[in-house]
Amino acid sequence: MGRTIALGLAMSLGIVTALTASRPAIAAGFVVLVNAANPIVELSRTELKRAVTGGIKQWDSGAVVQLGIVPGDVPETQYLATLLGSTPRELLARIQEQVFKGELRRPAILRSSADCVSFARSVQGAICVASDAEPVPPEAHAVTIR
Amino acid sequence: MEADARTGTSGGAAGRPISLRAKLSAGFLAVTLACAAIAGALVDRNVSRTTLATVEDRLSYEATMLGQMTAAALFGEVDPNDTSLTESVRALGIAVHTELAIIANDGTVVASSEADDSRRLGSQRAAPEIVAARASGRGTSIRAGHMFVARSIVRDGKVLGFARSAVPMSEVTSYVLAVRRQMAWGSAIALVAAGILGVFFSSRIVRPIRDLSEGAKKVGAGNFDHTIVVRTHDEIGELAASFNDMTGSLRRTVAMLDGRNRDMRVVLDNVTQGLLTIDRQCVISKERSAVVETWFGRAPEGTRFPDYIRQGDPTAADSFELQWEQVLDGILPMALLLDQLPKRLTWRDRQFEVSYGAVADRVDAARRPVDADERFEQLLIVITDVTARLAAERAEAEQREVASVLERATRDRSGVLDFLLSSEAQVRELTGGGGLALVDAKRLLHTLKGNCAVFGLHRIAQYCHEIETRMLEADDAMSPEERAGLRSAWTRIAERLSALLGDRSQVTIDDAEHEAVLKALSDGTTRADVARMIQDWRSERVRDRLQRSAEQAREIARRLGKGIDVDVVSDGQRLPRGTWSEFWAAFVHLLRNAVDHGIEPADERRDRGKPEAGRIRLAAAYHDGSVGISVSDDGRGIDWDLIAARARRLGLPSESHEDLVAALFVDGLTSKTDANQVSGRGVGLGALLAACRALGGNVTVQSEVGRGTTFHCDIPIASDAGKPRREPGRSLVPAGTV
Repeated sequence: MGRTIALGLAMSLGIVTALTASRPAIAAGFVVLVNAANPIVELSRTELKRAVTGGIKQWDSGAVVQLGIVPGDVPETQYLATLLGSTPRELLARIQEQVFKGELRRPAILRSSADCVSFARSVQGAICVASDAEPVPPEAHAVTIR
Repeated sequence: MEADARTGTSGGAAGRPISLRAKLSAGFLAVTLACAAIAGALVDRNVSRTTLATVEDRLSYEATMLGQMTAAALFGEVDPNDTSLTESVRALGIAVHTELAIIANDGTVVASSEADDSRRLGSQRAAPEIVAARASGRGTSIRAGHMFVARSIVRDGKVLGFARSAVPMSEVTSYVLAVRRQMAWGSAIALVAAGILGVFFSSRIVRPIRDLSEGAKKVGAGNFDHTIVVRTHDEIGELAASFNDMTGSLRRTVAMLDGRNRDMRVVLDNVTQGLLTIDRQCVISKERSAVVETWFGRAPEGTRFPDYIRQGDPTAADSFELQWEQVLDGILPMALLLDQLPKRLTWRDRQFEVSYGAVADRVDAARRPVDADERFEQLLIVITDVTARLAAERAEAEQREVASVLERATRDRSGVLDFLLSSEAQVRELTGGGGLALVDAKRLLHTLKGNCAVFGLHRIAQYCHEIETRMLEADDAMSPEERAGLRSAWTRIAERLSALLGDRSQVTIDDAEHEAVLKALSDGTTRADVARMIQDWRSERVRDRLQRSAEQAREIARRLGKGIDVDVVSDGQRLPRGTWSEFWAAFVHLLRNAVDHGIEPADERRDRGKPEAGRIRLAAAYHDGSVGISVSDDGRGIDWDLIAARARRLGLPSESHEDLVAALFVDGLTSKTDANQVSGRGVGLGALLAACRALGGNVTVQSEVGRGTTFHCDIPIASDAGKPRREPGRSLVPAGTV
């Protein structure tokens, strides 16, 4: 009995460990910003993934989708990868592949959330992830992810 | 090398003839083949180079594109562990049929279109194309059976990695081989086309040439009416037109030459001279005057001239052969050499004169005579039948001689008759074949020669001289031909003289003898004495004979260009004709010796203080039962030293004066160095001595150098036949013998 319980606990711990190792935890405190001229206010995760990987080429406003991303295993990219159900590395590889294929415009390389805010303000078709601690100027606005 | 006269090709091209058509076709093929080979070599070289360049350009472009695509996709340097582009690169490589690879800066292949696990390819850091690309942005290498082209992936001046494209060299090689194969096919098609075109065009070219050739053959065979139809308007057409013009010209020329040949043949068939030419081998040419073969018979082709004439005149043929060698040598001047060729030719009973002219060049139309130092090719021989002319000249000469003898007969008929009688006897003896001794034949011939010369029968004298010369040289008797010739010549002239002089049996007396007979009859002389007186008339008076001899001496002197005075001293004795005829015939030798040997030339006599005209004295006297007849001259006298030398040369005794006197009468000894028709053989005195001795007499000689010589013949007579009838005799020469 005891051995059965122990095995059950061990298996439960392993499952939990495995889940936490394969899917990073979605950190709170990040928002997806777009240009204020972009009327979109919410995106499903599928739509977000398509926008990020070149599935959507234009916003409803007509602006060309222009991804902004901070390369590397940084919180903003981790957040975005989490939203899309992958790791940052997989996301970046997927983006590279799409860019290589020409399906996706080459993303703007950002260094921080502040860069994301600036990028969202200045580029009409911009979409990027920034810390919610960053003040969002009027020229940009956050999009709700469903 | 000698040219083939028929084909005009050199001897080195022996073998089966190759047609012009085949040559032209082969030429077309050869040129096409050469062009194809040259073009193939050039194209092949360019194809290899161009193909490599093209492939390199293509790879460079693809590497560039791969690099740009990769640069756009990367967030930074190529991550050696990033395999995200592997599938994309593989798909792209398959799409463009190129081996594509993305290589990190450390040389790791992070994506390859050919390898599932690109890392297994190992580090490419040291690959030549990567090294070059790292240095200059671009690198190319051919290695491991591939051509590699690498481009650096650069963004913002930073090298992110390398994009590389590659193809196997087998693709390049196969492309080149494909081009070569196409070229081979093209060349083969070109060759076939060239062969067909060659046959076609060569046929078009050869056909008129063949027509020309056929026409030339017909013209060569003598058909000058053949005309070639001109089909083309090119050079061959012009050649055909020129050929037709040439044929027309040849036709006219041949017609003209035929005409000239006919004219020449008419001339050669009718000319009375034998005209022929011979080459340097003495071969007679075909063209000659017809009279040549009429005279000497047919001359087959290739007959040599000396062989042609040998049958009729072997002497002339041998002489020609002998002299011809010198003519060919050409050392002496040509005119002199030709002058030494035989000029007379005898053919049976005909006589020919031959003259020669060298001709320079066979092909020289002018056939000009040979100049000095020029090699002659032909000799023109002109033969003239002079039989009639010689006969006429002989008849004329005979006529002159007969006239001369007749003129002499008007002055001395009995002398001429005696001459004819004695000469007739001598000729009969010489030509009778009666076993005459050689020495007697020589003396007799010499005597006949001298008497004929004295009486003006120079042709017979000349003939005797020739026979005498040959006999001396050959030490042989007269040949049958010489005997026949002498008999014929003498008979011909003797018969004419006999017919003109009439009966020879006449007795000539002068008035004194006539009156003496009358006086004897009136004085009552016995009939027997009168009959003896008349019988004596048939004897010859010595004075008349000496007068005749004096005339002969003057004639000899005139011929020798000497002036002489001749005295005759005789006391009127007579001598029988027949028994003394041989003596008187030989007596002429004393006359000739006196004039020719004794009497000096005028200038010599003048130098010696003598009268220019020599003096000869002929004397006869009866004394003690013998008749002395002498010949004296006031000439140079006998050179006894010379006689001694000549005697020693002949092996005769020469120690005493008597030996020398005896040597004078030996045949062959003479004081002269050469003989002529007058004297010089050394035979005459021997003949005289023999004639004297035949009458029982002897000959003595008295000579003094510079003063003169006297020959004295003392001949006994059996009765008083030699006694003077009216005039008292007186001694002419003392009887002393020297």
